[in-house]
Amino acid sequence: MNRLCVTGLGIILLMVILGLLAPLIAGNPYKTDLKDRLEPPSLKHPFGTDQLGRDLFSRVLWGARTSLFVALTISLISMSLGCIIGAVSGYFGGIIDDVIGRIIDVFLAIPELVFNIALVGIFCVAYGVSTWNVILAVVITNWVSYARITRGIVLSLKEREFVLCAKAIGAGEWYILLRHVIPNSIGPIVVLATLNMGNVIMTIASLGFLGLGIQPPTPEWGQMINAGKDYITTAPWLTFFPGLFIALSVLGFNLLGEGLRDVLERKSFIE
Amino acid sequence: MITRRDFLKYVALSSATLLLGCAKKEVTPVTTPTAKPTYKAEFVLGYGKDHKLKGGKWGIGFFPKIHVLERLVEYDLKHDEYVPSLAKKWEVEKDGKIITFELNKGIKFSDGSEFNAEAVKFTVEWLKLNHPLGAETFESADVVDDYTVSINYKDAMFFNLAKMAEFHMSIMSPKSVKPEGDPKGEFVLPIGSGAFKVVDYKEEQYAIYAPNEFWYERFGIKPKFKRFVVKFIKDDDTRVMALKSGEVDAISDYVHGGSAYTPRNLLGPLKREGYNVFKRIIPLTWIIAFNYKKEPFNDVKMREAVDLAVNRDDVVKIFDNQVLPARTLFIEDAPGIKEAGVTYEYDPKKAKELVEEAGYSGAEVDMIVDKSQSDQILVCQLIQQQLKNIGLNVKLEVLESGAYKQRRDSGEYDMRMYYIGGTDRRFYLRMYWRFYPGNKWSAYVSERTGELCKKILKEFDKEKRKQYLIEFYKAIHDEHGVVPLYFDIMTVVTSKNVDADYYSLFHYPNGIPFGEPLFYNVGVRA
Repeated sequence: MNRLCVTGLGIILLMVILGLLAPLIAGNPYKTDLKDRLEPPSLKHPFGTDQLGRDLFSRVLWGARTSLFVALTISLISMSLGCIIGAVSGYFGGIIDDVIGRIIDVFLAIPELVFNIALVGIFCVAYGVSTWNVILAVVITNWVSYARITRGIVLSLKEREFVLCAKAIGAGEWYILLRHVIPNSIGPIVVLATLNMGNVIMTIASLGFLGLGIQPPTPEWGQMINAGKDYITTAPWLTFFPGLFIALSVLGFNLLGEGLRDVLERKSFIE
Repeated sequence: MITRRDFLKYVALSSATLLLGCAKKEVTPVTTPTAKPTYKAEFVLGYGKDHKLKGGKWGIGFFPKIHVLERLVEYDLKHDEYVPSLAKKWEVEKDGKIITFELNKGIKFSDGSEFNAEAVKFTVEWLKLNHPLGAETFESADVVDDYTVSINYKDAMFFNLAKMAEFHMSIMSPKSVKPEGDPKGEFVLPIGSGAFKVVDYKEEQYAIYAPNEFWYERFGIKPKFKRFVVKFIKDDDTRVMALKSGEVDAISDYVHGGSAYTPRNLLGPLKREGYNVFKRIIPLTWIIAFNYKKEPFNDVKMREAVDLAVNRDDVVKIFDNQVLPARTLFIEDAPGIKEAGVTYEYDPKKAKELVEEAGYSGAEVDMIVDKSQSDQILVCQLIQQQLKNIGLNVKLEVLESGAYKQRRDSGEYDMRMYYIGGTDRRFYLRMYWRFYPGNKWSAYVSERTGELCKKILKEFDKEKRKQYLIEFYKAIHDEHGVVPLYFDIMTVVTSKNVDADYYSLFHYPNGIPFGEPLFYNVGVRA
């Protein structure tokens, strides 16, 4: 069993369990109590309290739900979109491939975070403040890497014998694409998706830190670090614990992704 | 190469170090030196706004208007009196349509030229042509003699005199424009009779001033520095860090709607770290403003419910109790406040009943807040929780400044945080901007409050004006037009090596109280 994989999976499972059990093991993340504001970590408040006297443990755990849900949604949408576009581009080739290829180049040329900031700003003005703004903005920049990888895989797969055989017995292009090509390219894409989850969590946190992501009072790690930065010298727990959870979740996904890659590479080598 | 075990060791070590950093630290008490100090030639201040010394739609920035220029009169809030400054005395004619000012003799602008009636006439004409407030205020100015000038106003009202103490009406030398003395001329740099003169300026970066020897001579005092450097540091936290790193000797507020000030929640920690924190309560009250023209807040019961549901003592705790809870509409020094005897109470039980009575229990209301105002975001989150207790679900929307303004101006909101009043001199000006009928920046206007506001701004007689003010406070309270939250402050935070005192920071050398911080007597010990 791959140790990297197990460690990563362990961390992620821990995060997911903590997030899922937040309503049971953590209190109301919105409940203010000004008597207890900026209390350091204690038995009553394991992670201390924030500027409004809210329990930071509750907020960090509820923040896990927010961050993981948003990151997962982004990854699933980006992966689906990127896979389909990349597969179409690689399989059909010609002018479709040229157009999609240039679009991918344009998206890759723009720094991702800068592009996200601009998109979130535009969506906020156009549609008002919503978590879906963040999801949409990150999806728009994130599908590209999936499309690029899928296109590369499909280009090699479409010359393989099983595809030629399918064509020989009269299978349609879309049938071959959906039933044979995409399922055979899923392995590397899952690795990419796992590794990418870490990046997405970082992006959400960065947008939150810049005040562009999920808005208060919804607990979200990046936004919590932003609110806590004023107190970095007097109440460092406000930034430490959300930061720790961001670091752990990114580490978890990266370890899992690396482990999966090792496993798949070994498998393909054996094959 | 780092092994996995080493890596885990480093992670554990770093975590332990960070956790230890969370522990409370003892602060060593600061001792005051007793020897007579020598001062550095330069005093560096961190400030959150560009001074706009080249001018703009509203002229130069407030800071140079205060420190480089002076006004004909100043306002003493405590006594609700206008006191002489550049003008020695004045006479009101035609119910305030004309005010004739007799000017003080022997006052010089920083370039050595003399302050006289021609300078006042030039300023009035320049403001009329180049400034929104000047354009709506002045008709003309006539020079009676070298030291007497009659100003003709568009409307006959007491407010005309009040406006003369306003920043925007500061008097400048005709040499501030090119060609000299031409109100249509190009603005070059402000030349005034105030404590400082402009030496250098780089937009969005810094302004450098030097003491105006004529001003210091007039008041018989000596400056403690030769250069006064003001660095424009827009971000509030960065400004605090600049103070801590020694890049600046002091930081000061720009309090006009909370635009750029030292975060209130940092004042306590700064004080504990040994910095000198000077603060002055100003007649600027943060409020909850309603969209009172649409449901549900067109119902006075709902406005009253919000008023009763807000625990102001909790609100000020967010700011480490550095600001005061607003149990009255303005601070007690404001005219008529004590006599009105109107107070705002906390009664969540009654508030809940009112919401139920009005039929809005469980209703959702929008509260918009500008993303750039971190303090407001915190206060709004607290209010959201307090209103939840009375059965109102507040949907808090933290918006980009542009989106916030668009929502505010189009009336797409139910509640928002806003402010009334301002620094002392702006008391009547903001009365006009917030409560006068037909004003685009208004907070609340009804037939009753609008009429009273008109009477207040028309009445020269201090006692009658006070009576109108008392009635006005009662009307606002009866109609629950706004919900006062807390009284804001003006602060100056200085390093340990800066000599400054509260009196000279907030008074002219002749004892006139001043709503904004003054730096003429500050010195940085070498």
